[in-house]
Amino acid sequence: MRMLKFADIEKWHKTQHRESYNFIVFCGDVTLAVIDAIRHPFRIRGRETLYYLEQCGVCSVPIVLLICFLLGMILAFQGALQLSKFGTEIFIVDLVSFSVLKELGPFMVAIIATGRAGSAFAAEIGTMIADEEVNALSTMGISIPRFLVIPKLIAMMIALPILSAFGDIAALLGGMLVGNVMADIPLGAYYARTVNILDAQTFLFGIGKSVIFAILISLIGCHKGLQSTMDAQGVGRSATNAVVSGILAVVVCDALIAVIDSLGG
Amino acid sequence: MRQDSSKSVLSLRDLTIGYDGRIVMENINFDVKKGEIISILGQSGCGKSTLLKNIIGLYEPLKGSIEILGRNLNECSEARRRVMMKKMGITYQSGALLGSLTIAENVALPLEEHTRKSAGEIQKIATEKLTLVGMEKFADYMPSEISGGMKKRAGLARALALDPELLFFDEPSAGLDPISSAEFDTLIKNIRNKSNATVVLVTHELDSIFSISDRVVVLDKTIKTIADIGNPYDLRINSKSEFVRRLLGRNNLKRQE
Repeated sequence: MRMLKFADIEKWHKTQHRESYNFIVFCGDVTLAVIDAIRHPFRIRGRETLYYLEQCGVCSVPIVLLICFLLGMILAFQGALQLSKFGTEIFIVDLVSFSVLKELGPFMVAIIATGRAGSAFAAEIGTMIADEEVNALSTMGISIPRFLVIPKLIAMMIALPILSAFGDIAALLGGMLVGNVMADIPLGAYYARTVNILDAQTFLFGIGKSVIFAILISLIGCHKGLQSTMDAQGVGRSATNAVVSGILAVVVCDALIAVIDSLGG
Repeated sequence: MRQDSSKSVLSLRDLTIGYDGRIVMENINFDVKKGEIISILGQSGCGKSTLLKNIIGLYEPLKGSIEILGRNLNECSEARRRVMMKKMGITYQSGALLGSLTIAENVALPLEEHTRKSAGEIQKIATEKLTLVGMEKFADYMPSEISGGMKKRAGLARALALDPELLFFDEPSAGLDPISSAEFDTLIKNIRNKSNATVVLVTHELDSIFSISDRVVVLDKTIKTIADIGNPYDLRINSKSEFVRRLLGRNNLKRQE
């Protein structure tokens, strides 16, 4: 086995430094494109935005509903096992409602979106690089962030909060089913407690997080795609990197929001 | 030849090109006159496409300057660069059509982005350009539904959309059969004759070079610079470089006066 040399660490460090720098420059370019899109909304490519809205939003609804429903069931099931020891099964509602709306609903939807949309964005742009389409756009004087990133970013910022809301409802229904079957909580009582303990702020907190996740997933997916090399392996690598980096970014961001939220009381 | 020798539209001065600190070509100097067809020839991997990418602003040269229509593209502001890009049409090896748009939409794209013409006018111009390259029947096709040669023609129609002063071609004959390749060469020559645009070709097809080029720039990767530059028929016999004489001597096309 080859020994890890200092030169390898230095090379790795330089690569990371260059990639971070490139990502910051890319975010700057996208910010300028966003400002341009706000100033000239008619220049946003509407057809592409609708296409990505369908791909990232509508097409993701079944898988989001299924996974979130199962997630709600699992949470309620684990809660029922523990809480039944103390005769406090009704708190399954609290456990499921708060953890789904504040954390797990938006988080799980973001993970699904990273797998579906983040990788698709990277692969699509990577393939465009291999086919010289990105070079062609650049030499036609067309802004790459405005043309390729903004439609995806807008679509994700619309789709992810809506998917999160659907995911929340599905998870609550999953929890309700298990609460009723395993812990004998009447459906009416489960619903009444859910409505009683939840407020709009809790719901909007999760939805707000999903907007931030949408921005992260889109930017990372597009950036990894633009970093792709001009071969088939490069496209595969960029898609994989988009998923790995996207999930890492979502987890770190979620942790940071949780810390900031706890500090704010 | 329809060139105006008084005007140089492209000037390369003491140019060194490469990437990741590695020099590919150095000390490159030549001028291209208005209305001229000039080819860049060399062995595989000698840096022809890299040179083209430097000229069109995709790469930044390591040293030296590239002046296009009197301006250095790499020193222009982003706004000026966009204006300059409108004067240049580039046709890529694969056609580089956007897969999500139809052929007509691909041709209309530069017009939508850079002009304030109405949708009707844009459609009319796109149809005109497609007719010019013989692709009007395929306007509503997707790029995935047409052949490689057709993609190149559609790419050329897109490059012509804004009536550029300079046309660049990266390996226009690559992947084409000899008949399609000859037809494409004729098309390039006809377009130059109609529009008096300046044409820069990167190619390794000797037939294309001898049939349409006014001059050829021969790159040699062993000396990492230009081996010779001039009319291909003259260089075939009189070049001071043996490499150039041998390379061009493989073609036996006769000069058509």
